Amino acid sequence: MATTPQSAPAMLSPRAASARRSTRASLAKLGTSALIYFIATVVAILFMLPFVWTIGSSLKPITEIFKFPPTLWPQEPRWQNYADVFRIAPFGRFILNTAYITAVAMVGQILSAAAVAYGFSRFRFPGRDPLFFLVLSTMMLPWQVTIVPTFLLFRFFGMINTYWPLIIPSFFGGGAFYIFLLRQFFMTIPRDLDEAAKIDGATSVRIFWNIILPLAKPALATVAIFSFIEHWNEFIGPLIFLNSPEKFTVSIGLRYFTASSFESDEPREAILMAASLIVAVPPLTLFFLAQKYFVRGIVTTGLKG
Amino acid sequence: MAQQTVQLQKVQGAPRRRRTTFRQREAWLGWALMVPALVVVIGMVGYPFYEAIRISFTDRMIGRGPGNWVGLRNYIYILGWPDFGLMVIRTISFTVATTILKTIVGLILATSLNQHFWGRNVLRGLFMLPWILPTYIVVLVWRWIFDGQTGVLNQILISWGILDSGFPFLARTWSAIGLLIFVLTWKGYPFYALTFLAGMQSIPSDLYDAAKVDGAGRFARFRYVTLPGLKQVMGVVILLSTIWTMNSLEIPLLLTGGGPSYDTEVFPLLTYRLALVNFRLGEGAAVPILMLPIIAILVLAVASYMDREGAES
Repeated sequence: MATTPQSAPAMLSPRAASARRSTRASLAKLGTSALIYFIATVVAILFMLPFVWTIGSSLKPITEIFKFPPTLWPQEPRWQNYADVFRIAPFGRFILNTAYITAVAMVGQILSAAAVAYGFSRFRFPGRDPLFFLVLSTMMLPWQVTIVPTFLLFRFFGMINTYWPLIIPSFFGGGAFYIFLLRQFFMTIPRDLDEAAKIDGATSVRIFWNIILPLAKPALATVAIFSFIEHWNEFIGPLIFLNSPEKFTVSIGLRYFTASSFESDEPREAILMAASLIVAVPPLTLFFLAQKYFVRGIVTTGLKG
Repeated sequence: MAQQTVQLQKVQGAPRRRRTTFRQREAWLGWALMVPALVVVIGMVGYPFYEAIRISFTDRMIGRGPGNWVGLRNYIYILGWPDFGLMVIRTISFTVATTILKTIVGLILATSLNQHFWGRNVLRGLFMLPWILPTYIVVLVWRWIFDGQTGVLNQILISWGILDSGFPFLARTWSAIGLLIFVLTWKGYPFYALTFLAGMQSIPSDLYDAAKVDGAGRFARFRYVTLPGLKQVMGVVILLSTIWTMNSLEIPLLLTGGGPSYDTEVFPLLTYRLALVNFRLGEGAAVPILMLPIIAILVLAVASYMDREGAES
């Protein structure tokens, strides 16, 4: 009588069976992780293609930009493209302008968001909860609704073509999203710490500055990165509020390499790519430096499961 | 007797009064800390919102004074426009499509990047690139890749013999719609992946161990441990990003500019074109107000959801 498939392993010693099972399991595990690697690699290549393409193109001489078939990497890298960025447009100026706006706005945003979040998380006062709800709603109101009146308001104050419209909102809480993130984080800091400090005679301001803020570093780092990337890359605000070129930020300054290309015969795509990479360096550096804080900051803020 | 009562009242009253003043001081400080938030709510949102409604009833144009009251004319003009309904449907369907895609890509990526493997941190950073880089640049690169004549994609397809001549991806309705959804997804998935990843890390590993003991496979663990654990994060992220996607102007403006022939015109673009290109502020203000009911429902959903979540923690 033929043995049934099920009874076959039973004839082996238990140890051999378990060994085989574990080999099979580890093989399956290996297969799964190989599959994960494979998918990850394919997806990575697909998603990274624009970046590799950008870097390659930024080094191409004009003759190679529209070469057929296209080359991913130039035969003779033309580093001159990077120097041309600063020759064609006052790009150094744009970088300084952007750095100034970003730094001031970021500091304002962190401080004001932290103060408001502290108020929401530690104080009881009439109207607190409706106000929190209202603040959350502002995060989602389409800016299209308010942009025209905001524009007119800033124009009334004579602030068109200045940095004020790009900076002032940040100093007043700026992003409701940041207020939410920080409030959620502050809620997780034990109140006992506050109470202990209060008994020792610390004022609320001192508690905020010496206890809450130092403990909230990961969350503050998260807000800082969000805020930096937001301001560094901001496009619509500068587009609407700034009109003299010496005040431009990098995001609208890049148009120098596209909009005016019809004026000269030489295509500027390579230089545009070089300029784009220069713009991308600061946020990238910041992200890689702060990555560790960043994921931890998000874990510990309100966006936890 | 009477004196005693008075004294007693004094003794009882004193601490109570001090407590009240303390509470008052607390409330006062609380309110003081709210000043920035109030300025935003009133100055940057409340007043402009009121103004927007008012302007939408006038024929105000940039550089022509305050304009005249025209009643509902702007609204009638926009609603009477055959394309308006289409624009609403378009905006909603693009938003829904990208939100679904971003959720799927975000979940897959977060799950993969949550495994332990060599080079994980570098990969995590690399996958965030689309979010870190300025929209203006990445959209430009995509435009360049998809360009009808000189685009890399066309050149590759031609050199492989798939196409005979360049296909104008951005000048054909369906490919332009597809590309817009693709780029919106590509730019937006890192926020999903990052927050999902963070959410996954806060799921206790005992739950996975317990599921393993019960014989749950990889997929079962994902389905019955990861997904329920991520429910709240996903709720907040999806609702927030739905609103953000719906309101986003940059990518549609830079990628297709609404073309070909308004086939990808979404509501932020229409507002931008009416108000800031044609200088017709009245009409420009009326468009988002007409869209407001849809957004208001979403906003209320998110705000109450976040409020509730906030109250729980």
